[in-house]
Amino acid sequence: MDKDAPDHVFLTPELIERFSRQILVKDIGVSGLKKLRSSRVVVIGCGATGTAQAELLARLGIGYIRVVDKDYVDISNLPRTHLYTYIDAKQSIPKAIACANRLSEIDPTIHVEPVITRVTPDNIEDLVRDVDLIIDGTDNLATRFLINDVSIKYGIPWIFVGFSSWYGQVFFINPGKGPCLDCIIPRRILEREERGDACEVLGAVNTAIALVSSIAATLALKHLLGILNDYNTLYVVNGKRLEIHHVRIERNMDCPTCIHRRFEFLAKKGSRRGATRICGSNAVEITPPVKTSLNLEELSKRYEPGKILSVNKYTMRIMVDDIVSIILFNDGRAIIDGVNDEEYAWKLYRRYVLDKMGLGG
Amino acid sequence: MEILDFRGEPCPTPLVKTVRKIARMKENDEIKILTDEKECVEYIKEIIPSLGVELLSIDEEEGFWIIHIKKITI
Ligand SMILES: [Zn+2]
Repeated sequence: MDKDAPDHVFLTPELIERFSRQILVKDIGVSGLKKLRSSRVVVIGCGATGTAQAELLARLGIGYIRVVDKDYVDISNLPRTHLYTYIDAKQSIPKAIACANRLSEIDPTIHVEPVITRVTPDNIEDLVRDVDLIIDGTDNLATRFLINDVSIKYGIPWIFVGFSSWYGQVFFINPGKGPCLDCIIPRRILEREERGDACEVLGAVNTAIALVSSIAATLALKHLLGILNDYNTLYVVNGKRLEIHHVRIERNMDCPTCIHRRFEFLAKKGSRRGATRICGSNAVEITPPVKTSLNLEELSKRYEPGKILSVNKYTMRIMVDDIVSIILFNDGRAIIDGVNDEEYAWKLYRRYVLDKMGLGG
Repeated sequence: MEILDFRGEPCPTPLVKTVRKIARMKENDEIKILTDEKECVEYIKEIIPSLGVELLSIDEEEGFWIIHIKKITI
């Protein structure tokens, strides 16, 4: 992006005071602040790397941030994730809502839009078409290849962020100016992930996540300021030895996506309904045949006392037994926590959700 | 007319104090700001158009600047 500082950006005395230390940085100044205020970013996935980047971008003064996630805050997220609190986990608040709330608390003058949804070929175009930059906060290659397709199709840059344990990789993909994900990651790795071979719980160290996220946010900042000139470097981070290696990557001049513009991942439209095991956690996601809109606080009254562990506008947690519980979202979607068997998960959904709604049978 | 003498104060202090003052000025109020920080002169010049303030003049004296501004909208 090589635009001059936009004139239409409205700065207030309070904003100038807020950003007075940032304005002093030679590469930023007032014109840089105006560029950041007029920038629009979407963060796809509000997990460890997504929230860390979202916080940095919000504090830098990015004017518009959309945060997208399908999941709720779980207590096991707290060691690795920025922004979330113990209360968010106890109340099973959707990650997109908790993330957006925290960003608005940091800076109420930025526009934050939470979207609670799984990112699919059917909805991704609407989620990214109006932004300047897409931030990868996901934990799987399937979604990243989908982001890559939509990025190349619309010419919107995105930042790939991968990590496990102490290690991470960051790569800024600027369509047409450097390699895309399909140029650098062999599809057989994606196929292995889809077969379930890679469907394991990956450990992660929060310090390494902060390091990787900080590199990604630096690239975002430089790009939005118009001072990033290098779109061929893969940053390989060793968070244990504290090393950052720069690996030069060239475009694949026969790349199906960025050369031949075949968007195979985006073409897999047709929404998925039913029960699906969630990769990397002991849970099954249920997407009901028909989308609904539930008043969870009303619905919660139909359960025996003690069965409802938490209820709010967005989610309700229903206890099944000592180990298994159901997190029901207000659109009828549910995550059956503590279950791996898809058929059993459906049975529980029918008994604990559809029957209570009077839709059983 | 009020004169704010920020000489001896490093940037961004003159900038921050100037915008605080601007926030409390009424339409047609004029002030003069004195600063010896060249950097801050540039920032003030760059910022004031978006704060509804008109720059009337900048005069360079011996080792400092006098910035004369007027609030035009609130
Ligand atoms: Zn490519």
